[in-house]
Amino acid sequence: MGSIGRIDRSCAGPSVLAITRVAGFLAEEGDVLRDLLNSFDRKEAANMVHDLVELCREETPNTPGITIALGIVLEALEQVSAETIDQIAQRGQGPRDLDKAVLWYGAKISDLLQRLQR
Amino acid sequence: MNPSICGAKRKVSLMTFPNRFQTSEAMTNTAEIALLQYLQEQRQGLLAAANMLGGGDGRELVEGLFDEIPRNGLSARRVRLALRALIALLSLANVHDHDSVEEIRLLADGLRERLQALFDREPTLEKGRPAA
Repeated sequence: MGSIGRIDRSCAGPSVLAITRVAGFLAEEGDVLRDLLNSFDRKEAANMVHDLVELCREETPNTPGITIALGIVLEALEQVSAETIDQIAQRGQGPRDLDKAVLWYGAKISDLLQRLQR
Repeated sequence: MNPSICGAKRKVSLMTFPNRFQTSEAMTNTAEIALLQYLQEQRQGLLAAANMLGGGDGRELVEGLFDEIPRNGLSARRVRLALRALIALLSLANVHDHDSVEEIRLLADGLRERLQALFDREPTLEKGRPAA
């Protein structure tokens, strides 16, 4: 077993654990989230997802920076209107169940933000 | 309206445009100096605007930048990422006070313009980031 599996997190602070969660989320969902944001033409937020990956990789994570960047991504999702989702769906663009994807990512990011701000 | 944000719209860019006799290093320095000058001049406005839009996290983001820049310089990845996060935060500017919105947008534009000038001179700073 590699050393990664043996990292002792017992002394890690809450923000370190929260950042680990953000990093894990981005590792699994970052690419899809970026595609989703790009499909709504939210390029700045899509770029923020890329920056978030880098921010989480820092040896000493910039917690306010990660919180702000995550908040910007959430804000972008919140600003997506039902009309925009309908238009994209009618054009046959973007992933299926676009509305559910927005809700799911919004809820997930809200949860991550709450953990960061505890 | 927060008075400390005032003044952004009256500021004139101090950036001296590079000429054909300048080396790329000198041009990078010119862009760096312009960005540093802007950050210094607008420090209070940036703090107030970030606090207004991002609360304590916004304020800490700016305070962290002013701690990091003297230690690590503008080329440091964490400084660059924090600057981009700050620009994105300032670009939200959807608060209800329209005077503040205008001033915050000017701050965001001023910062974005100077950071972009630095990236134009030193493209490696943007290496790895997808095109907007």
